[in-house]
Amino acid sequence: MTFNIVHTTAYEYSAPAIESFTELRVRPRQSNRQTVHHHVTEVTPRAALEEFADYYDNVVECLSVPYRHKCLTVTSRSTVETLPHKDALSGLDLTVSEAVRLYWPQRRELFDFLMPSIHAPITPEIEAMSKQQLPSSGSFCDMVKGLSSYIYETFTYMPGVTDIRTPLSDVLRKRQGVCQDFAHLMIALLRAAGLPARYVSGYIETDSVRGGSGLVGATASHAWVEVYMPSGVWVGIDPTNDMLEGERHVQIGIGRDYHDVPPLRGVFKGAKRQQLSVMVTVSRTTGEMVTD
Amino acid sequence: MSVTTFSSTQSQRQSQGGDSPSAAVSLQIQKTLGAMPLEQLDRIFSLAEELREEEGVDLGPRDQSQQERRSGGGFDLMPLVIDGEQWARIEAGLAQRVRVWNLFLRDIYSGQEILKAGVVPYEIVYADPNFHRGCARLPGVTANYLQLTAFDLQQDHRGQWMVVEGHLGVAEGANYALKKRQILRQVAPRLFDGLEILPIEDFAAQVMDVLQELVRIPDGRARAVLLAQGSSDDYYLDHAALARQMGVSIVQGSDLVVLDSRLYLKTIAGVESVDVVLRRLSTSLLDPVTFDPASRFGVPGLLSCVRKGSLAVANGLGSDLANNRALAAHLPAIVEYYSGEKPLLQSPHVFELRDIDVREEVADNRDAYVIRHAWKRGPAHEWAVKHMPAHEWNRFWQQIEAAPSEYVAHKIPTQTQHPCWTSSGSRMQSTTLRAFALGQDKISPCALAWTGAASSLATSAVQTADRIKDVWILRTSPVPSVVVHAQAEEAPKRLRLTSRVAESLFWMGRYAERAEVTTRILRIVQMQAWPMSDSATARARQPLWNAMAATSGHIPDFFLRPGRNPIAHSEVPFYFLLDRKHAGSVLSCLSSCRQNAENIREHFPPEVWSVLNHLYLEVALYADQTPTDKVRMVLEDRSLHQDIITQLDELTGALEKHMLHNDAWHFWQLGVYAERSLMTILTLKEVLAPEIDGVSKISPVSSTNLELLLQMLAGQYAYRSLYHARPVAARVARLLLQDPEFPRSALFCLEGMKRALTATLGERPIKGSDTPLKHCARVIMELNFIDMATYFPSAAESPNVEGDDDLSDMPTSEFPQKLTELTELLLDFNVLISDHYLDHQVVFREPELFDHASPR
Repeated sequence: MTFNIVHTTAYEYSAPAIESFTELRVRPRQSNRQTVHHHVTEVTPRAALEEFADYYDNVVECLSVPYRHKCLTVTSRSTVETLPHKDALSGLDLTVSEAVRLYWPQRRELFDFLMPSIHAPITPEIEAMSKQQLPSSGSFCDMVKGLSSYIYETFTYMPGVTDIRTPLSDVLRKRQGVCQDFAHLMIALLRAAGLPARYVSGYIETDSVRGGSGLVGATASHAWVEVYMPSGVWVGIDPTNDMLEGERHVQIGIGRDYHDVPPLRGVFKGAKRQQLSVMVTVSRTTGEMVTD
Repeated sequence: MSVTTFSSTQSQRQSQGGDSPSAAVSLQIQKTLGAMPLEQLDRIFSLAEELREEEGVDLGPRDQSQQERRSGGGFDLMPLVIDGEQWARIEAGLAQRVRVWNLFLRDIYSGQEILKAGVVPYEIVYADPNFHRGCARLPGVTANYLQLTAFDLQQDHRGQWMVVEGHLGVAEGANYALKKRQILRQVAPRLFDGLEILPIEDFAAQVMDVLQELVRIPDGRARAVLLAQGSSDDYYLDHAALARQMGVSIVQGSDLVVLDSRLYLKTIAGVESVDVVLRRLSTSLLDPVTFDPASRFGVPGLLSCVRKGSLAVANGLGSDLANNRALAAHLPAIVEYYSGEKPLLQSPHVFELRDIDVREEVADNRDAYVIRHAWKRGPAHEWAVKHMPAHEWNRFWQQIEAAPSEYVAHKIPTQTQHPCWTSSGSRMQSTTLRAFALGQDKISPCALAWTGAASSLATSAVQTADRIKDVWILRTSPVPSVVVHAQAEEAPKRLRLTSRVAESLFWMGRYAERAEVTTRILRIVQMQAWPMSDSATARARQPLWNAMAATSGHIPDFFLRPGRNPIAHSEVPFYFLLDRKHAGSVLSCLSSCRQNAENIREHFPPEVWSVLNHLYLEVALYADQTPTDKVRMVLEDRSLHQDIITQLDELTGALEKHMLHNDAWHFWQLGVYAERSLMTILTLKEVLAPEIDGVSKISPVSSTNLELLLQMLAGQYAYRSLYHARPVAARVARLLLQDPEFPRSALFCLEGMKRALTATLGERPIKGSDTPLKHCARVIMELNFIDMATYFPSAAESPNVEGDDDLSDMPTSEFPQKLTELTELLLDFNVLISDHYLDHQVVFREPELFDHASPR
């Protein structure tokens, strides 16, 4: 499937700001699952973009606006073609504890995704929950899928209740949140069981072309999880929609958690308050249909 | 002061070998000191104290009371003496470590071969927050991570120097050694007689050399700055002194700005590009966009400059990782891996608590161990668990069990003791030596030592200022003379003032002036009839009260609004002088002035600070006690007012006399004049030409009010000298606005601003924008063109008087408009000065900016 994605982020400051410096992670990544045909990032007011690849090979663009400005608008336009995914989770017959053992030879490379991280801490609460949801004798595939379903069923998707500063413990208590909360929760639970998991920042097509199964997530950018398979591949799971990552998911970048791949992170001087508005549209360009 | 002479215990041989040259020198010094009469020693100690205070600073961290410092025993006269040969061994050992750590950091931030080879457990590196993933594969950092490092050493019971701690990220404290040497040479020059000690005075120049080597600029010198946290840092004075000696600016994050992946320093002369930053902050604080978003000390985008290769940072970004104490456990393997050698200097064994067996051993014999955090530094992260009560220990142990890889333990060492000689006597103490390495292979003889109790854990911080010891490294012949490249041929360079410092001075000037004007006006106004009372006099004095309100940030009729007026007549003096909650009170102004001063202490002489500090503390003392009769009295009889004015005069005097009349001085002047001109016009307007809600309320001005207006603005003497007659409105207006000689007139102030602006920068024309100097000239012209005769037209009814005396005592309604216009012109200065000297908005402009190549 091919998508045109337009992602606009606008900051409006309460008073003129100066010396702002911003890092953007809004360019979809090239991978064997998706091809980026076109990408452009537009910034108002005008500023030169510097581009580099970070530690996890995400493309980062940064810009500085030293002069006085009242607002900052960043629009990222991409055309991305996604390929059908094979269901890598099925047909793997091993238990969670067997999987954990199989990771050992690669433990150094996977260590970042096994350790707790800023937004995915492994607390006693998480550990207890992880033991319950991911018993070591359980089937690896069933348990991972089951965990996604568990989160999907237990937690309510509710924008506005949490933001990025909300700790996981609050999400657990409220049983409400948005995609990044569910992703962080799932990551923490997987890591607590010794399964490598990473955070994916990206987009999702929310409305299918002709009605039908509308997916949740696209009022802003979306986030989900990748779990590392003992077979050596990362498999994407979207607990917000309780599904495997598919053709309708477009990846921007990966990291230990949100902190490694925020779409936009910046600093400015001057204004006390800012109004943030984000708009994302993901539209299909060719009439390919989901057949089943 | 009592000085005990050395008893026989002090003459015992030092365990490093009684026959060594250093032991002999040490004994010789003890003999010299022992032979001195007590009075002479007393003189030496008191002179040392004096010199230390004269510096305006104390050696060592500042966050301790004077008393605490004294209890440390005061100035230590005994140096730590080290043989040339022994020093050579230390040099070789430390140089090896620097080389190896450098290779390690290069590896870790690129291929991580050492981790792949399993020589070092990868968990230690990956779990340490000082391993910054954002620093991996930085093209700007290729070969050299370590420019200035330090190592703390202690002598074990056999006399072997052991490296107990490394400072691979930021190495501080060298200037305490310089100061200590300086003072010791002054107070006890005889101790140095006949000794050849390695000189340490060129330390800063050598640091500069290393930085220049790091960034080779063809046909020129790299521009360097020293980036520090600011005056809140324990080592701030060390940083400031190092910067001064290196001839570079000491800056804070807000002094720097990134534009097109290049770093610029904001100075009053514009933005200057920076090639190399000597950082005194840990990497995690350096760039809030990449590292800790909460850091207020860094520069957003600094990393993008390093990525582009336009900037070098010393020490290299991410090098703090090498401070990890668990990593130190693997030092022999790391040395072997990169160099094929064995460590030349030993370190105490590190017990890694992530190992369950080690953990049990430490828990079972906890009395013998000190537990330390693996990557956090400072006394708060070191625990001597010996005396820890059981419940506390249990809680602590749980904390360790939860994250055992974050902790290590060391055996409490048995150290060699070294002699100390302080005013409280002489004794043997264990001593820590901090040696500094410059670049990859040079160890500076400028080393620092300090003493602590035998059980002291003080390995990671210089804990008590007075315990600093001088370190004498004996010269072994022949020693090649030290070559200094950096600054030998250069004349001292005057650095342009950074914008932040200029801004602080500007505001200091403004706050001090506002405090004075407020006090002066209050002194007169508080004696007048309360404007709310219903009498003819009260009504007549209303304009004066309005002036009081207007000049202190209130609406002019602040006192006249029944029900909305929050203060009573009797509270007026307290409210305007001492109320901390009132931002316009004299105390608030003094507090802001002092706050600004404190942030830039190194930019003016201690005399100035002492006057300002004393004034603030005195006024604060009145404010912070519950109002007693005494407080009420000094407010009522206005003796506090007088006192404040006198001390503010003293402050001006101290500035005039002790400060260099340089950029800094001119910015202070700029602030004073800007504030004063504004205050004069505001006061004049309220008394002569008031407006309420934009409606002119002009009425004839009584000569009493004119008299009082002159008193409020300290203009009585000036007026009398000029006119020898009772005040007339037009003349008063002329004096306050146009007199070229009266220091409070608007014109005089504007001329003063013009002088200050010309002296600092002259005209820097920037296309299409007004400059402060142009603006100044314009206001001066406006003032000169005011013809009082048009605003105070001749009153036909009094034909007999001559000259100005026939002018009306009531201005026309155009006069308030004129004054409002002037006020607005004066307020425009704030933006202009900020745009030109502080934020540099005139340089940063959207359209032109990116059309050209980057400014360099």
